[in-house]
Amino acid sequence: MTHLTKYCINLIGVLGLMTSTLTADTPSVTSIAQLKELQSKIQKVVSVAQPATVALTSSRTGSWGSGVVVSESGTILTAAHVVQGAKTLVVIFPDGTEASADVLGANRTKDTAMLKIREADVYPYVEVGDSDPLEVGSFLVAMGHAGGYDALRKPPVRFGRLVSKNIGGYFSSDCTLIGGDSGGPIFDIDGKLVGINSSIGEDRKANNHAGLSALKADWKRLEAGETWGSLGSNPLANIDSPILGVAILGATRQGVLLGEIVPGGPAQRLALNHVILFSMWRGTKCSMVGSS
Amino acid sequence: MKHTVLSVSVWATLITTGFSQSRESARRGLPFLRPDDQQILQKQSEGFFKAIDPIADKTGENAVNVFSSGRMVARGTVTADGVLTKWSELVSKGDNIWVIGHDGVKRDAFVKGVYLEYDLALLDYGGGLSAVDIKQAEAVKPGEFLIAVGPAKEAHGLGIVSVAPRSLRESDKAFLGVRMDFNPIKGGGVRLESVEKGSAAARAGLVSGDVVTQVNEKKVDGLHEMGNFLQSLKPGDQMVLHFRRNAREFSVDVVLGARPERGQFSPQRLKQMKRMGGTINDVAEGFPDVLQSDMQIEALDAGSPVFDLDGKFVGLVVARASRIKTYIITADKLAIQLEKEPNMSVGLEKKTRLIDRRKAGITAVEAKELRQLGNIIERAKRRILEIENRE
Repeated sequence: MTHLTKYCINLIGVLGLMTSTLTADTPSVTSIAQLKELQSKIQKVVSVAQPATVALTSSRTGSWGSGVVVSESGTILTAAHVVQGAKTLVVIFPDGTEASADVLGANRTKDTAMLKIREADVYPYVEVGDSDPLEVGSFLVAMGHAGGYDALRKPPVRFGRLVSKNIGGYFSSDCTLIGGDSGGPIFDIDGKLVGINSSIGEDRKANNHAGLSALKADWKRLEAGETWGSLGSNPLANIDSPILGVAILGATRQGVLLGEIVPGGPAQRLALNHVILFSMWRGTKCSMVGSS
Repeated sequence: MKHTVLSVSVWATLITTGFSQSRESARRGLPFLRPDDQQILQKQSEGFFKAIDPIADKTGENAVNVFSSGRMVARGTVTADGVLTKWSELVSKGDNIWVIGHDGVKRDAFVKGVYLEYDLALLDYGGGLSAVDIKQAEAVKPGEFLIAVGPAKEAHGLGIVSVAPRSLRESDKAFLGVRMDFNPIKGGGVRLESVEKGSAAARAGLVSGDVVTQVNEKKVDGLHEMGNFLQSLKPGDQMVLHFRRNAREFSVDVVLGARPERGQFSPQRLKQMKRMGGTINDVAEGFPDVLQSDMQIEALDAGSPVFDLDGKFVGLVVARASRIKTYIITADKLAIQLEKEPNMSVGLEKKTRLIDRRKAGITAVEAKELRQLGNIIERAKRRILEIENRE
C-alpha cells in the first residue's frame, strides 16, 4: 500500500498538482480595515520592488521580456525563454537607465535563468524568498514590463493569489500576465521574491510562475554558467518529472480511469491493469483534472 | 475519449513579445484546480466582496445599466449632467436607449452629447438618480484598491491601480525622426542609421552617420537610453543635441515634433494574448489621460463608476483593454471634460437620420451596413480630433 501511495503522488505530479490541505491558513479579508491593511502592504511591495523590475531585450531577437535584480552588484533573475540562447541582453531600468548584462546560466526545464550586469555599480534590488511555504490563497504581487518597455509608465502592478502549486516548483496565480511580463518577478505580500513569470493559459487564473525555491536549488549551477534542460517541459522528455507510466482515459464519479499502461513502467511493475480506477490518494478523492 | 498526457508548460503560452506559438496550444488553459482548492479560493473571494459590500450598497445608487434595442450594452455612471456611458458600444448596438438604476425603474434616455476623446456619451435620462461627487477626487497611487459597482448594489470588479494616470496617445510623445544603429560605438554614443525627411532631426541638420553623444546634460550610452529619454519629452520641447561627425564635435538645438501615427503596432501574438481570458472593448486605446487597473471585468462593464476603499468616487471605466488592463478616467479629468462642450452634435443628427430610415422600413442588411458605416465614421472622427489636437 505504501508503494501505491507513492506512485499515486507521482501520477498527480505529472498532472501538475501537489497536495494542499483544507486546513491551511488561507489569508482572509472580511472587512474594509483588513483591505486597507492589505493595500498598504501591496504599496510597500511596489515601492521596494518596482525600481528593481527591469526590461530585457536583445538586439538579435528583438523580443522583450522582464527580469528582476536580486543583488546590489546587479545579479538578475529571469525566465530561460527570455534569454533564448543570447549571450548578452540589454537591461533597462524603470527610470530609463540602460545597462548590458551577460547571460550566466539557464535551466530551461524550470524556465529560469541568471544574468549579471557588466557595469560595476550599486543597483536597486529585491530580497529573495521561498515559494515552498506558499499555499493556495497566499497573496501575491506581480510585475513586469508588459508589452515591452514603455518610458511613460512604470511596470504595471498586479495583485492576486496563488491558485495552484504545480510540478517542477511552478505555481499558478490569478495575477494576470501578458506578453513582455515573462521573466518578471512575483512577490509574496512581504515583498520577498517568490517566483519568475513564465507562461499563461486561456483562463485568467492560468498565470504560471517558476517558483523561487526550485531556482534557489539551482543557484550555484546558474551562477557557474551552466545551461541545461529543455523548454516546453514535456514530462516525458524531462528528467526531473516523475512518471507513473499510465495514460488517463477519463474520469468517473468514482475516480480516474486508466487507459494504456506503459510497458516496463512503475505502473506495470505494480501490476496495475488498464481500466482500473484510481479513487483515493492520500485521503483525497481523485478527479479528472483536465481534458484534451 | 482521447488519452491525455498532461504537462504544465506545454499547454501554456510563453509570454515574451515576438515569440510565436500556435493558437491551439494557447487556448488550452491551466491550471487544473482541485475542488478543495477551488473552495478555498471561492471562500476567499467571497470574503473580499463581503468586505466591500457596504461600499457597493451605498455607491450602487450612482450606477445604472444601459440598454439599447432591448439588450444591455454597457454600464453607466450618474453625474449631475446626466448618465455617462461608453459611446462606441451604444452607437454600434442601435438605438431606443433606456437606463435602469438601483430603484429598478426603467428610464428612457437619449444622447445629449459625446466626448470622443474618452469614447463617452452623455445621456439625458430625465433625472431622479443620485449623482457621483466629482469634486471630492483625490490622486490614487499604484497598489490602491479600486471597486467597480453596478446598480444592483454589488461590486462586479475589484482590482488595484496598476499604473498611474498617463496619456495613451502616440501624438503626445515627442518625435525626433531618426533610426538608430543597434551596434555599440567605441567611446559611447549612438550612430544614426537614417534621418526621416522633414522631421525635427532633419530640420536641425542631422544626417545619417552622425553619432549622438549627449542630449541636454545627459550622456547617451545606448539607443534604448536615448529613446527612453526622448519618450520622456513632449512635442514642442527644445533640447540641445551633441553629436560627432567626421571626428569633429557639434551641437544643435532641436525642437521636437509629434510622433506620427503609424497604425497600432500590435503583433498577432500580442493581439491574441489580449483576448485570452475575457472580452475587450473595440475602442480601447488612445485615451488622453487614464489610469490602468488590473481589475478583471468584461467589455460590457465599461461605463461603471469606480470607487476607493473610503467609498470616494475615483472615476469611471472607459474600456476593458486586455487581459491585464482596465482603463479608468479619473474624476478630476472627468470634471474637465464635463465643463467642455461635447464634441459631437453632427453625429447625433446622423444617428437620428439612421433611426428615421429604420422606421421607414429598411432591410436588416441595410441597417447593419448603416451601423457599420456609422462605426467607421465615429472612429474616423476620433482620429481627426486627435490629429487636430496635436496641432
